[in-house]
Amino acid sequence: MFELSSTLLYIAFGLYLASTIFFTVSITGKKFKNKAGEEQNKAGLLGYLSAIVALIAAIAYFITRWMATGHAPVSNMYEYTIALGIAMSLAFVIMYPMYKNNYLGLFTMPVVMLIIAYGSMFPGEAQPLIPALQTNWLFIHVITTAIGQGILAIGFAAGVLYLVRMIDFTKASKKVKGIEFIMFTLLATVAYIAIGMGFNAAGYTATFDYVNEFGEEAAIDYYLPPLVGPNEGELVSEQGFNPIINMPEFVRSDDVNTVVWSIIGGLFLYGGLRFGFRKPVAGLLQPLVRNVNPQTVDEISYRAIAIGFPVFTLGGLIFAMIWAQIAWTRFWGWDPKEVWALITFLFYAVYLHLRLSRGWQGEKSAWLCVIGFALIMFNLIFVNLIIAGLHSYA
Amino acid sequence: MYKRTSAGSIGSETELEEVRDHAIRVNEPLTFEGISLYQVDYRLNELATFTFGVEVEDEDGEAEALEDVVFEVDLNDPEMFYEFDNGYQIEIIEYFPNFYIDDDGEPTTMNRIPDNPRIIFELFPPDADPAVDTGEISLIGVQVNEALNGEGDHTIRMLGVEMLDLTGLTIRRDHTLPIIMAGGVIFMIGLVQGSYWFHRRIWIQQKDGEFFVAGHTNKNWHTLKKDIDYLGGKVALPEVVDQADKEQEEKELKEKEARKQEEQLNEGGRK
Repeated sequence: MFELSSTLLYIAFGLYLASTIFFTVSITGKKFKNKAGEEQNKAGLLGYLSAIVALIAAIAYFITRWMATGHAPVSNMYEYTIALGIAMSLAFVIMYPMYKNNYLGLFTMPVVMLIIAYGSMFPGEAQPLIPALQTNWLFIHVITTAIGQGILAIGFAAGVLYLVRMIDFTKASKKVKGIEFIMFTLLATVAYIAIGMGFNAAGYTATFDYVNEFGEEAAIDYYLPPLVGPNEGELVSEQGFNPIINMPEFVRSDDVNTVVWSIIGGLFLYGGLRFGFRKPVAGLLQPLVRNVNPQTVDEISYRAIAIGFPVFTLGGLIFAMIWAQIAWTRFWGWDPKEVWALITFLFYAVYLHLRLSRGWQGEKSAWLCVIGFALIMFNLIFVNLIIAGLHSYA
Repeated sequence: MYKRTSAGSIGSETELEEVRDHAIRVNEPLTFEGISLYQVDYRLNELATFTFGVEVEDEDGEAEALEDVVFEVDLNDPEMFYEFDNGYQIEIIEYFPNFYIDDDGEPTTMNRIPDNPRIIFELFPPDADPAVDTGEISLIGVQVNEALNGEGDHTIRMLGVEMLDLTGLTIRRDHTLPIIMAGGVIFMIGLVQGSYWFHRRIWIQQKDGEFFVAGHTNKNWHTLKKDIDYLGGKVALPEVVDQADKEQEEKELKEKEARKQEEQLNEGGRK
């Protein structure tokens, strides 16, 4: 059952890729209309169908894994991040028929793939649940939150689409820098996944003896070549080399090493594209999206957030508070995750208010969508991995 | 959980009637009359009881255990005085459940949890009179056994220890919960209404042989547009153009032209 669920996830991933390709073809391929003026290029429809089949495969992964492990597969970074990717594709499958916009597919599917691939970089073995998680509230709270965040992520994809469409790339400006930074971040994530998978496939391990934060001798394994070494690290394995610099003891040096590798990889990818084409990377995409109606995209991003916000509020705050009252004796305890969920909630509330009463539409609201998604990812990655709290389950 | 059946002062023994049987676990608090009991913590292998024996040093300096003098000290609630049939008496002078030396250099205890217990015993052999004599005083803890007044041929030895698994319960009573719940429900209803219920209307008015079409919507501009397009398909309305789209197109056209002109200017400059 467990192997089956992994296989299903691979199938889903392949189908998301197919969907991306179909949507690309639907946009770049020839437009041929019949006499009645109907579009004959069916690639968009195929893209949507692939997305549906991919979603079914992904849900089958979810159910089989649930059956295999005996608990809802949303209990660690691997499981939650993948669930978030699936939720985003679910939101896309629901929203596509409303607008039938192939550009949205072109921007959503790659983000879905990126999130799922990023999630699969975390250890995916089944783990037993700690007592606080052994309750039905686990899936009620987490799945609702994941779906809410998935819908909000569509707002991000549409926001980026809007920005790529509207920003003037012929002049250097803060906006160009901003969108280029988004592109760089996405490319660095791609680089992280590619480098991690490459060295993992090669079976790379470098082991160091070092002095940890408690002043004790300890060993640490690196799965990427050690550019940044641990405190007073000494190489003990055959593979590996002496790092360029060693970190002080209070830093998790292997994580820093991974971040350094991601940034270098991202710079390579970004630099290659930027200097290969002598254009801003987002500017390369702009000709593709020339025919996008900006008002429609703006509306899609707004609709996504209007739909996702109540779901997120319900799952991320209300269900969360009920469960916290049951498990931790209080509904609110200023745990880092609670605080960041509140910040995300308030941020999107501000977005909605600015849009409805201040008329912040178009570009301003697209930037807000991007920042909102950055908050969600920050809450997922940094609050879980770096800040210690009650939600550090990874 | 039990309930008192008969009246009486609190704490007095009365008949108890079982009301409910509930195993409190994480995520499964026991709630009654607005009070909740939660399991919040647990610890395995906590010190619970120490067993002590006494050794006597005979004239050759060899230690011999006194079999009759064996006693247990409950670390959570120790008895302070032990008396034995053969005349030995042992008194606990001081008990520090969680021993440390404070800033003034005085031995004291951090709390009542026996994490690092130290006991000061005073031992009286059968020939001593506790009211008059000073016994042999010793400080005993985990891996600690010091005679404090040095003289004497008796030693108290720790023979055994019993461990206990503990769990921590928290009792809470929160009257604001229903209010918070009501607030959450009202908030969600309002939010869902505002976000998911759209309305749109289209009015058509005939005036002096002209048709006026007007529409109104909350947050559902796209569907309103589709409705108007649909109407246009059914009756021969002129194609409706979105002002915002038109403005956008015009703006881009202007920008394009401006760019062209600029380029021409630049080329002209070069020539």
